[in-house]
Amino acid sequence: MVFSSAVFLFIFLPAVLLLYFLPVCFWNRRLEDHRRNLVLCAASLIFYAWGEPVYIILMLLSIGFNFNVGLDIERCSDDPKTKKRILIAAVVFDLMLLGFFKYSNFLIGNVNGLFSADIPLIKISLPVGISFYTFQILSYVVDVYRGQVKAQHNIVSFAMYISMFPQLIAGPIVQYSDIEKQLFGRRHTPEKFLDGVFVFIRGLGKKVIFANAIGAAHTEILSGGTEGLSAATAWLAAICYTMQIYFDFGGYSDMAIGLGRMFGFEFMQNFNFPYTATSIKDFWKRWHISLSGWFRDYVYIPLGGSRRGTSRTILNLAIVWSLTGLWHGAAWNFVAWGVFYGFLLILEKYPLAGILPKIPVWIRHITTMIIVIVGWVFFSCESIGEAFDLLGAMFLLKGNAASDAQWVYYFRGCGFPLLLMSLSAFGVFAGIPKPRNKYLSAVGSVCVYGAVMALCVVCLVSDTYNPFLYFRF
Amino acid sequence: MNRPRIMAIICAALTVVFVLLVTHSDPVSGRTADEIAKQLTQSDIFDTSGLVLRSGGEFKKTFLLSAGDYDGVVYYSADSIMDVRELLVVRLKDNSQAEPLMEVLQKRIEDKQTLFKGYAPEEEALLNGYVLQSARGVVLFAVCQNSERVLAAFKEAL
Repeated sequence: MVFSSAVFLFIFLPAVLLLYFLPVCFWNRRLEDHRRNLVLCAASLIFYAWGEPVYIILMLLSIGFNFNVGLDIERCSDDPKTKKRILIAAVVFDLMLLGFFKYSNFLIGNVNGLFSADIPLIKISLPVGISFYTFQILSYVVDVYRGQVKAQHNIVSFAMYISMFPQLIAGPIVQYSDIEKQLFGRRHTPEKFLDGVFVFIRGLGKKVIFANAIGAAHTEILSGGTEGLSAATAWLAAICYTMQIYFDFGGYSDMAIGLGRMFGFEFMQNFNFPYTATSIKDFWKRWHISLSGWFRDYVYIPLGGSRRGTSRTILNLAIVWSLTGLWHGAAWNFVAWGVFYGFLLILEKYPLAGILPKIPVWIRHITTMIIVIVGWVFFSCESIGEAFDLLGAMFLLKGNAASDAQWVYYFRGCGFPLLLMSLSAFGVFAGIPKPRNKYLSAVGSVCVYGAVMALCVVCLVSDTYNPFLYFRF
Repeated sequence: MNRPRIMAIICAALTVVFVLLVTHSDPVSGRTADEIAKQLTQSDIFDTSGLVLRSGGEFKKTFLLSAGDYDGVVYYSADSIMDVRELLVVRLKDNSQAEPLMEVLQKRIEDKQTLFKGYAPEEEALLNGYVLQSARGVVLFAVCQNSERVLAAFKEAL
């Protein structure tokens, strides 16, 4: 089930909200919290089972395993050796599961290619959301080991944390330490609920109105392949994808945050106007913040971070960014994308550290945007070869024309949406001041978000092009 | 051994059993989209005369979906706009791709049904007898004369 589907919007969500807010145990707040967690947990499992009726078992077993591991680690708090052994066993087991489902066929394919072997591929499909929920599970187990959080003794609350439907399938990756205190006693107010509705509609609008439209344009431009593309058309395709992925994933994150808020949770912000970044480091502080935060806390810092000298820091950055690329998909173009960013971050950290601050901000911004657009080419293409073909067309390396009538045709179609999306991505709309009068502000918000919701429904009914890019990760 | 550890070991063991079952119960077809389509078109089940095997780009143009997002795509359609016959076999990368793909195909068939309704009775009959099926990680979409035989052959080909 996807958020931008009629089943979710008009049946599933209203039913869950009704059951969740029904004051069944109103006389006892603690009991009511338990009941609400149970409703949310059951709804999340139904949400997941809707698309993955088989792999729900895998997720439940994974929840059962890690719930008990957490309790076991807590019991061994005065026996560091045993505690460490349990942690290592749990981390290895969780990573092996992720590795088996996500990377085994990639590995077999590479072995077959390298050694001309004929090892048959394993007949499995990738369980939806496994990358996201495995990382949440790991954050819990490691935090319990470190003593940063107490082990969860209520399996329903733990299952709810892992399977919570707002962020189960495409993040944000919520660390247990951020949500522990919200599992019980979280506040529900009409203002918070309404704010959640507005954030959800904003995300839905980003996805359905902007991302779908520009995604269709990107698909159409590249439908005939990269052969014969002028540089201007190739750049237009790359820019369309740059906007599509931001509004698609950013929209999904907003929907997740909005839904979370409706149910009383506060999830961390996952995007902070990434296309206003003035360096690659700045970009990664603003893009998919929950993933970069996870890699920082659970890989980069445990490896020694930047505390063990220059060469070790470079090695650590290379490891973290190769893993970041690989996390996004079992294909070499994702690894290349990760290595590309790792290399740029190392450049920024060392040889360019003294030069960058002296460069005017607008030049740094334009340079960062060009690098980001080039990076998305690796991400959007199906293979490294195809990515280099598109890059060749963009940089006039294929003997292609700089411009042609095709680009004018496409630009006429998507120029205005691109302008609107750019203004939104660069934070221009967010800077518009709200009316000081509370009543006017509320009425204005209801009108604007009501109109956006109506437009989304019209788009959803009339258009079937509705893919979610981050689902496959 | 304490209770949580025993429970964790039981869960781990059950997970291993589950993974073994999933990989051996064959929920995903081991056949490629090419192999399945070949089996349908080589026999007399699906007649491809007058149809053209389309490229990934043409698939993208028709359905606004990228062929590279799937494990394999085979798409036949006619050059003539009056010939509504088509055959599409898509091998999915994961099950979550089935629902959105089937929605696109459902919308396509509904649009075509509206277009041909009361206008071309033979084509309308073909469109009404369409096949849209998702099984074992493969989606079949076919508009043809003997749709029941095509569906049976598809299940066999998996």
